[in-house]
Amino acid sequence: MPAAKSPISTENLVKRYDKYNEIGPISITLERKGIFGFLGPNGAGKTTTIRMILGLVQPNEGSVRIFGEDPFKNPVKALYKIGYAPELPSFQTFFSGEDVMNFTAKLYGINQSDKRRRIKGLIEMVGLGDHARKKVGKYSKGMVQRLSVAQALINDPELLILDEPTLGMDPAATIHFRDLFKTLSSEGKTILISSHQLDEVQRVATHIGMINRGRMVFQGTTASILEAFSKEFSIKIELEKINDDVLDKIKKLSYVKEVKISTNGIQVILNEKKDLRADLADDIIKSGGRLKTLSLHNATIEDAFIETLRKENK
Amino acid sequence: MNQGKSILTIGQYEWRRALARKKVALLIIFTILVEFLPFAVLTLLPLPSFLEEVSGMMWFIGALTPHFFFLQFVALLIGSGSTAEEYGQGTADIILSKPISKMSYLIGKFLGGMTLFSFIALLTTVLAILLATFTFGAQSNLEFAPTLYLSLIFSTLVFFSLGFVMGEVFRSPTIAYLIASSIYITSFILGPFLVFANSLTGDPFYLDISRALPTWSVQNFPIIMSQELFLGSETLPFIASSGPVVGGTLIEAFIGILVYSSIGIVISFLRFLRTDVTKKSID
Repeated sequence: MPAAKSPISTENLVKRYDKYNEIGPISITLERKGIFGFLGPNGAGKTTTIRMILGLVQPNEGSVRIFGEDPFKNPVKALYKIGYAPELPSFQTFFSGEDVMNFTAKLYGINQSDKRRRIKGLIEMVGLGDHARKKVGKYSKGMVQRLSVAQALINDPELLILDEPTLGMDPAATIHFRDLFKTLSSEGKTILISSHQLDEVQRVATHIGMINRGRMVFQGTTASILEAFSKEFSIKIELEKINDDVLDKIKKLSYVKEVKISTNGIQVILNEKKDLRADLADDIIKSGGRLKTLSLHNATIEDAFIETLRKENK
Repeated sequence: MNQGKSILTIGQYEWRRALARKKVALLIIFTILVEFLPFAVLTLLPLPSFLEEVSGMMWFIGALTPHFFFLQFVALLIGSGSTAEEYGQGTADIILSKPISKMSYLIGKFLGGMTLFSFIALLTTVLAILLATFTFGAQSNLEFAPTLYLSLIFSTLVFFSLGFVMGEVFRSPTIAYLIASSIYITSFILGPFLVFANSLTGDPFYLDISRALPTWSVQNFPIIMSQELFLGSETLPFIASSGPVVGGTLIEAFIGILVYSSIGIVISFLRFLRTDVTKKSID
């Protein structure tokens, strides 16, 4: 049995459409209060997995629990603490943004006084304050996405499932929502974000899971995955003045493998997969160098993603 | 939220959704026009003698006329779009990801659509009474109007359920409406054809088949019920060609309606509860 009371816990979920089209087995256990980045190429099975979790798609094998409840046997209890914003959301076009929020609040059984306050607050929060009474049919794609996130928050959910939440949003809105997700997570909400925007996921996710061809290929904390995929760690430094003597001393340091100089600065490649910025800064100062900036450069989620796809597709 | 409240919320939503559809709104307007038109014509022309004899019962004819054809299309249209359009638009996903059971959703959809239809039928019935009174003077047997209205609603369950089940099976409103309408039209045409075949051959088998058609129950339940309640042996124009010719009893019509609508309701519920929520149809 999957672990009880975890926000999401799936065990060997399998969905079989036909002989060649199968998703799973997928086992995910989400920890409370984290942001789980759910990654994978198009058609990998991310949305189907989410829909299995929500009880919209019946798995052929395996089990799913939301806070310990089975969404197929007890959807009312299981879905009560969840907020869900689907990929490419659709709402009735004759509804206004406010109507959508009202209808959603009714489905959660939110009482009248709470409802008004929450709707107003959420509509303002997603930046639709001036468009609340406009028909959804007249909304842009980005506005529909904003509304989708707002309706997902109407019940003040403990678990938020967002399928490509920033798709179609402009850069300013993307940044706004990235900050919003971080804030919600810091307030104690667990968030699952399925996205193609890898850099966005890297910026917010505490945990990452990657699915390819219907199978989970890796999952863990973002830091552990980045470390696992980093072939080498390097530290980028900027000196006030490039001095050959200082460079020679850096090259001779026991933990330094190589020093590369380019127009962008100096890249110090390390022998170990460790964050040795403090040691390097000390050694540079001791050797008489004057340090301007120093930053650790290791693998990105994109590197991990590409590397995994390359191995999987071999 | 308790199940009753969920059903009510979905039912209210279904009213709004169905009324926002232009084709439903147009068909309702058209049905009301059909109600108006014969009365308007009759006020302009000299009244034929056969109508003069039954002028006190014109409300009854007026209430039945749209039921025989247009109201069945309205029922088919509301039923076939009820769940299918939610799949087509991708709105089913969002609603069913909320804390509501699939059973409450479907019951809410069914009752919402059916109560909307009942409201439209009420409009046409009230309109028929008002127009008949205005055109032909005081009407008789009006105390039976509520019973007639309920019998119209009950008999329309057949084609509403047919539209509903087609919508759930095909999950495309256009395909569902086309197939459900084709079944209705085929049954509508086949009835008189079978009566004609019986008159040529004298074989009662044709009449038995005719009574088994869904349109027979739908059209004859309110007529036979009215005959038993207040019409007696009085033969009104246009109804003479249906019930009395083919024969049959009220209980046969009742069973026909019950069987056809139950089949539709059971299949649509089984299909909905046992299959995945379709993300988006190709419609």
